[in-house]
Amino acid sequence: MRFAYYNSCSLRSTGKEYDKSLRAVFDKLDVKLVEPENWMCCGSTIAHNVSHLLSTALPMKNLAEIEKEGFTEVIVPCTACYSRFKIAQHDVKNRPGLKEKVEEAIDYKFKGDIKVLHPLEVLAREDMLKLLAEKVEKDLSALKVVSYYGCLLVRPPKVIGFNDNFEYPETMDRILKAVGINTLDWSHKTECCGGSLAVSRPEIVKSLTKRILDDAKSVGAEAISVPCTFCHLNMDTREEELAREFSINYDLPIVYFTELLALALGASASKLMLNKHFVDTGSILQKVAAR
Amino acid sequence: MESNIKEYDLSVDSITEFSDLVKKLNDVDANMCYQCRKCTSGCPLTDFMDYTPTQIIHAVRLGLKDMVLNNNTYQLCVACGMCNTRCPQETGLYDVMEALSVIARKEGVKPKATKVDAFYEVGLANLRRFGRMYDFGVAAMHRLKAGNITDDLGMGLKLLQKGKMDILPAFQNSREMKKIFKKVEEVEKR
Repeated sequence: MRFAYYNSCSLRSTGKEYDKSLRAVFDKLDVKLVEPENWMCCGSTIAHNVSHLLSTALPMKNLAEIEKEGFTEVIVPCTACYSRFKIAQHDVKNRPGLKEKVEEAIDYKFKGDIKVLHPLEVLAREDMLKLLAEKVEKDLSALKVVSYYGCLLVRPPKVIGFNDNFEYPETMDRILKAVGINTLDWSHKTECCGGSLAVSRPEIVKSLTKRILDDAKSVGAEAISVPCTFCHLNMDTREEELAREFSINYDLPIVYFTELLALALGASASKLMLNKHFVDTGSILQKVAAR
Repeated sequence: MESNIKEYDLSVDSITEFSDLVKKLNDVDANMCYQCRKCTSGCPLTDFMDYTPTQIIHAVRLGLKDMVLNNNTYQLCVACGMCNTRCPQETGLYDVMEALSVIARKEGVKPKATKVDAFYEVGLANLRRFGRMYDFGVAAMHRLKAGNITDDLGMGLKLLQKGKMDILPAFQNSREMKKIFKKVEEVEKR
């Protein structure tokens, strides 16, 4: 199996661990990931507040490069990017005149449609779930995890089209379960972490992040599994500050679901980038047992 | 007797100039809203907003341009989509906020939430120059423009130390990026 792989800005910086662990997982599953040469930033949360055309052109430009390299499917791990790609495709289909303007802006005429896939969508396929279950090497069943999905993955459902219940998604839970990880029920699966206000209004991010951490802690979670570099950045970097300010022992490592999968599939912790996390992941590693 | 109370036409077919502008920009019809407040109930940012999303969309409908553009609501929207998803009329609240952001910028309105605006200014300039996000540059320039250099300094240093942020920028297809920025500006002027 081969997919184009959108190795985005965040995957190369604040989200390095996501990229590393994702590659480890797909490597074990014999899936080849090919990065298009001429990628560029998708515009993320910045472009759409300034110009609708710009925020549509940038993801479409990336899809153009992917089409040029002969791919019809691309995996986009960063959920903010994934959401921008999906919104761009939706708007180009539904707003008269936009397609022509975009093709002019990026100097390219599309031949077909590129399928934009989140890694969760790929791994949730029946054959992938089976493969994951077959390749499990370590037992992580002692670990209690909550799955955090965030906003951009599931909303708005008619635009993004992520195949799951947008108020109580279960895709990530199913994938983690396939490798023997137990996920707990909780009420903050899709509550916003404050996203792009990370740089400009961190106090807002802290307030929103606290709600999520509090709920996770209240149900007895020992780790929060995330599918997005933004979510990870906000929760991981603010947890210890919040712990100090409010005298709460969260002890909740924030991990990418791919890091948990990689550990279950037998990847050694040293091969992943767990030491780059702000919140220590030692407590997770202690619960990785031999099968 | 002359009334001091301003009258508004709220019939279904009447549309104010401002509401029409928002509609043309982002395909959103403010007349669809019947003020059920589901959007505000789900919005994570209302504690920090001057006016709630419900109030803002009604203000758009009434053509209250000043009130809408000179308060921080549209700026604090993070496009989490809770409003769009739950609105029984599928009105598209965050598309309203996005349109307001674009209008405010076009009309040179001095934004209320200066730190948020500075983030877009700095982020956009960096994007154009490098073709990809330069986190350190954006954070540093943002502090110089709209904050203190000591804001979040500890976190910044830790990110650098852990190798999750580079001090130097990386260029990625920046020539193409500049071309696209220019082309977009041209097309939008028409």
